Amino acid sequence: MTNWLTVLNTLCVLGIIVGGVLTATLKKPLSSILALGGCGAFVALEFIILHAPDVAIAEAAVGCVLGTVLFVIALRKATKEEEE
Amino acid sequence: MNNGNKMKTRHVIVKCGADLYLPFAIVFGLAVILFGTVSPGGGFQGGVIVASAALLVYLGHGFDTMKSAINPHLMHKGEAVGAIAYIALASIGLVAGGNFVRNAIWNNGNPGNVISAGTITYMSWAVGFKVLTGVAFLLMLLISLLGGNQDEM
Repeated sequence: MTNWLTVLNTLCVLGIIVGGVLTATLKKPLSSILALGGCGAFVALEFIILHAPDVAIAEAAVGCVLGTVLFVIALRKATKEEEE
Repeated sequence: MNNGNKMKTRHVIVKCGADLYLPFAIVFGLAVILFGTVSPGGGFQGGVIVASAALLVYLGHGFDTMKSAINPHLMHKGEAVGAIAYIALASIGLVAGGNFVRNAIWNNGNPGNVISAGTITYMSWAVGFKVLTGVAFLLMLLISLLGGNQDEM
């Protein structure tokens, strides 16, 4: 009988890999930013599984929220200047 | 961007959502700092969560409101105050006859209580204050460098 934590751990690692590959390969920048945010969410979940909830809170706050929102703001400004 | 005084206003859902989540972000961040010694979290994490409230103000109300709500010079000085407070609280251990970050007033309260941590709780608050002012200043700098004062979204 496999431990359910092992299954969850495998799924998390797969999610991190898929998120990273999507971040690197997607054509549209907004999709790339959202894939990076999803990758950060999986990293935070993986930290919780590895018994480091302290680091998970930091990763969720910085990688998921601040990074994504700042990237979206920067992208919006950049595309607006490009259109002009 | 030469639309003059024909300024587009933000959508009401974005405004109300930012207003709704602003107090929760501040209170949750302060709780993470307060319970940092007995539960996951701490000064850095709570400070970042509180500083994300500044981002909520920008998302809901624009850069002008953010600039009037948050004084950047005060933030800049507050970061230095936090660093000095951390060093001073850590030096209490030296005064008490131990090494640098020695916990000096530890024997009050039972282990597991919030009050039982002694100096570490106050050092956690110092780190939280430093991180919250520093990250808020950083966000303001970044948004203004990205041209956030051209207020149309």
